[in-house]
Amino acid sequence: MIGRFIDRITESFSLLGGLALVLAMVHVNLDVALRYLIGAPLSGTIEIVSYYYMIALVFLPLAAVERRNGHISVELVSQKLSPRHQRILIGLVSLVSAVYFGLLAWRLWLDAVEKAQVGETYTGSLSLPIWPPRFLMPLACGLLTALLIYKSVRLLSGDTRPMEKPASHDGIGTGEEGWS
Amino acid sequence: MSDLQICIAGLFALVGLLLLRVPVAVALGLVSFAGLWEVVGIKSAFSMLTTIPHEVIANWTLTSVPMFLLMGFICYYAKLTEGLFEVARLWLSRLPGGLAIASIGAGASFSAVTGSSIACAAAIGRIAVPEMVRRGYDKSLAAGVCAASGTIGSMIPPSILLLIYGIFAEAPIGPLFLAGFLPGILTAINYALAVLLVARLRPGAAPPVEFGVTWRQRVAALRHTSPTLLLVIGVFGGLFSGMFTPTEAGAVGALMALVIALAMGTMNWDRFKLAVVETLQSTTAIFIIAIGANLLTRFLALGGFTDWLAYTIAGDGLSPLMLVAIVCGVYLVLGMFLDPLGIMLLTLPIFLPLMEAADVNLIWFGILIAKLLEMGLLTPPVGLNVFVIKGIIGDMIRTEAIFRGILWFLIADCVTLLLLVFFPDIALLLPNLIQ
Repeated sequence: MIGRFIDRITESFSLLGGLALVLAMVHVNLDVALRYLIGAPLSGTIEIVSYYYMIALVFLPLAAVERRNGHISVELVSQKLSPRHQRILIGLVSLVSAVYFGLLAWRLWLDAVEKAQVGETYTGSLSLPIWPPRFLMPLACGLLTALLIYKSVRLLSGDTRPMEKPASHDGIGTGEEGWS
Repeated sequence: MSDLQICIAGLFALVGLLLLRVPVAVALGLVSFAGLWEVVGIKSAFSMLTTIPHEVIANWTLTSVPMFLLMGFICYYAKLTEGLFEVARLWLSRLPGGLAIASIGAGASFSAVTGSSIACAAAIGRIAVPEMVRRGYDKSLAAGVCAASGTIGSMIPPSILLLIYGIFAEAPIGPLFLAGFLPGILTAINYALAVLLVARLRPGAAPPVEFGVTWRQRVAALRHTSPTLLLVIGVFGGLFSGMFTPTEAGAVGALMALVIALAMGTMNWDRFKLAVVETLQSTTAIFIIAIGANLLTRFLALGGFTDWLAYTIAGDGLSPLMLVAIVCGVYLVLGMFLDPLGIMLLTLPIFLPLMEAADVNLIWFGILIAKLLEMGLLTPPVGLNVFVIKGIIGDMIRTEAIFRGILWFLIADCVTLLLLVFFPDIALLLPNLIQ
């Protein structure tokens, strides 16, 4: 029940991240096309891509990556353990990770609220408020923290029902390998 | 404890946490945060923890990484690269070990659309290994040559490894990419020589294949892949002529790849979704580590470790060459166990200041690191490229046999590495020409 709820949010966040990626690509292409075709680039492309799309596409998929076991770790020692010990280890490690991302979520939220109150704005060729996407960072870290706590409770309480999604069916994309 | 002792304790804690399977991003972040707390106090530590994620991610240069990844994944999933092996096969069929050399050629050309050696190995291996085995090639040679060819992917531009290195080292991306070009070609040539040598020593391993290929067939195959070639020329022409920034080159390349794939009818919604998901997965996994690596850089700098290391090494009168030798050793050992980007982000905070202090050319150093990390993709016990090939071809070949097939190519890589160390111009020639 809780798992399904977390999964729903995880997927929506991931979808938004994908949208940000595609929009970033389209936006940059439009900028290039307009610059070379009519000599008038879209003003603020660099700022919008960096402050909006980039934040969205890097942070929003955080939980989805964890869901696919895609965060990089060293499995040299852990893979030699028995399945039971592995489960306990991963349960504990998830708690440790939850501490880090919880810490980030907390501090980044306070920071985002502060920046919203002063209405943080980029001023250059145009005036662009850049505080709104700051909220994506604590939200995504918070979601990941919730997922990690849920995962660790399940693993440590000995709930062995499968939780991980099946690995991608292709040669690459099983998480660990698809990224270098 | 002195600040320096805190740094050293921190580094030990980091290794301990990593061995306990704590994700690299978390281990880096937590250790650095705790260290900063000790060194500069909790208030500053919290302030860095809040400012660095935004500072690192909301960065225009970094946006080139997802764009180049997207371009590579679109090419991969839309199978824009399948024709490359066909071209290489037809053009190189006369050579002994021709199919193996064709795999290397296909690897080198696929490198020009993807920055990832794993995607590169997967793309080649899927087509070339079955073909070679069908023609009676030794299986371990067939699998080994494909795993090795993949590593050219991180040398010939675009290269995600070099991109991330450039951002961290504050080295310009254009010259860095150019610098990778000749070493990539050199790698391919040395691999081809290794194949020729094997074919000479063990004729049974790579039997000659007589296709009776005509020039008409060769030209037809070339014409068939012309859209992909156009993509490469468009992207790099734009990048190196200064028309595009790296981000723009990647974004234009991704869109061009998408348009070509749609026109050729090899793109559908599912494949596009896969390309997007893979891009997000890689981008997020990399950048969340980059945040931790940035925190580590601050911690080691503020704790005085960076200066101490640089002074100690300088005080010991180590020549730059010795320094490079040590670095090579460290990377080769780490490469046996960890993934390339993880190693790079872990070690750059320590090595970069050291290299700067020793006045080592940072572009050349980047190429050297890329080469070393690529070798790490092939070395046992953890050789990701080997696992990728194994994953693709399944039960046909045992993993140990692939590692055996790699041996010749690792020797070729050692030759390439020595040439790079003693003739830095192989890397620096092209960037110097442009300037």
